[in-house]
Amino acid sequence: MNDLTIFQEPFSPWMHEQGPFDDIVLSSRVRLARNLQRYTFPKALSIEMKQEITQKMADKFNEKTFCTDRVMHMFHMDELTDLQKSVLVEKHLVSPLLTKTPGSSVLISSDEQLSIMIHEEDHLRIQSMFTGIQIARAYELANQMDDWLETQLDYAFDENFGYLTSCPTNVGTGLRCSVMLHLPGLVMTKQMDPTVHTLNRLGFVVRGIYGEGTTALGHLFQLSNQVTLGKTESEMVDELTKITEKIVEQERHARDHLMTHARFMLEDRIFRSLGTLKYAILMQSKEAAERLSDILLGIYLGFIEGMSIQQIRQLFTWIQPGFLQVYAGKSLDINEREVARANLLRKYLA
Amino acid sequence: MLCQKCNEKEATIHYTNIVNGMKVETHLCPICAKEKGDLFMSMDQFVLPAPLQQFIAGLLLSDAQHMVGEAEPSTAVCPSCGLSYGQFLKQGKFQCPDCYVTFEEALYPLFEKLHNKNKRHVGKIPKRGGENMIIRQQLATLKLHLKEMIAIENFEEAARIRDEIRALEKRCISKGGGSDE
Ligand SMILES: [Zn+2]
Ligand SMILES: [Zn+2]
Repeated sequence: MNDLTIFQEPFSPWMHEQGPFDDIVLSSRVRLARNLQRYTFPKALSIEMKQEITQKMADKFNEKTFCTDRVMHMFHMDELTDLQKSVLVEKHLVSPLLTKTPGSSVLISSDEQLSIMIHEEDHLRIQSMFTGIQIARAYELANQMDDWLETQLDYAFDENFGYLTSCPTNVGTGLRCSVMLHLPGLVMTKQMDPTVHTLNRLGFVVRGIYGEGTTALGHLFQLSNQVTLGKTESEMVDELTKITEKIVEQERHARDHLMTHARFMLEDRIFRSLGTLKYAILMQSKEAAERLSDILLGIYLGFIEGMSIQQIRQLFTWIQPGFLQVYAGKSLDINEREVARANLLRKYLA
Repeated sequence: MLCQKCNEKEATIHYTNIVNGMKVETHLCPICAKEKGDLFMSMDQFVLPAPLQQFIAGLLLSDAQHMVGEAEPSTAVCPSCGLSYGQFLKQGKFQCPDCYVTFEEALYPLFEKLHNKNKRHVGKIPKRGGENMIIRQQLATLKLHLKEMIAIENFEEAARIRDEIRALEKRCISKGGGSDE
């Protein structure tokens, strides 16, 4: 990766890969929260101490690499432009909090699959992303990095409480696994409320990526584990994998059901969305997300040909403020972005 | 009704978010709503939604109130970072690793609530922490199994587990683990 491609390319290299069930599960992510002994957590840590840790990390990665084929590149938030920061956020490589925290940095692998946020809520947050349901693979990669780091650093760890984190909701394994799901079938057949209810009872958190309750915009949901203490990492990974597979199965059922009982309604909705995206002059990101969601469904059901799910997924990243401005090559205000977004979609879907 | 974000213009856009079964209403003016809409998907997937944070804060506070009247609620202050238990309850976050040791007793009931009745870590242990910790963890798990087997009167399995426990304990001692339990 040269520094430019990461800020220019809306699609991270790993996103080009196909993954199991990636027609419904857009991505899998895991994150490990880790802290170092003898330092207060970042929120109460002085800039000097933060720099000391960051320098330590930089040295470790200069001296050796944890694994030969994954070179890690470091970026300091204080040295990036606002646009560069929003691009990293839109690619989910860093959190919005990190970009707002003074003295914070991130290490990113060339394939953009693995990253380590430094001085977010915890000293280190190792995270890894894969397409489709690949929580186990994502954990394996993050864990590999963790195995290497623990030979280099002294982690804050307690025999009873496990990995010590700033927030009590992360203590124990420090592991949060999540999947991003596209669930128009469950929403349209009104099964989302009971599904969310059941998942909550089982200790999982569901929320719309952006949206109005269980009819989240774009029908995109994130499902993740809530409990981090008292379970092994592999139990956590297995549980989320199994539950995700169940949901995928239900979603497929719901889509079949809609096709049998409401085919014309569905087809009409999908082509109206395609029409809007192809001809609109102004486009808000909310509406774009909803329409693109219909296109994803249209491809799945075979109504729309000549477009791939991967291409549409790319558009979800592209329509966000940061990339629109990268694409335009200049900064744009909200109203200009609506024009730019509509232009981009028209061009792409023509 | 005024916009929740700018507190200036009339809120004309209203929506309800359901997070963890809790309804959260948002009221915004068209301009703020547009801005919020534009931030679509760029939020961090791993930050807990605000209501859950509130839920935790509520949990912590109700816990504190509950403890008033019982033994003193912990007037402890973390010697390493100066965080008091009261401050911890308010912000819902620890400030340094030593806070865990300082407030230890008060944390078990809290963690049980947050983590589905679990209060002990059973996952990965950093190798630098020492092999004995790993052995002790295996012992704890085995002892739990042993209890279960005795409870359901599976004595054959219980005997097998007991042997396993003995073997592990020997290993722990021969490694010079010394200071356990
Ligand atoms: Zn407003
Ligand atoms: Zn402390």
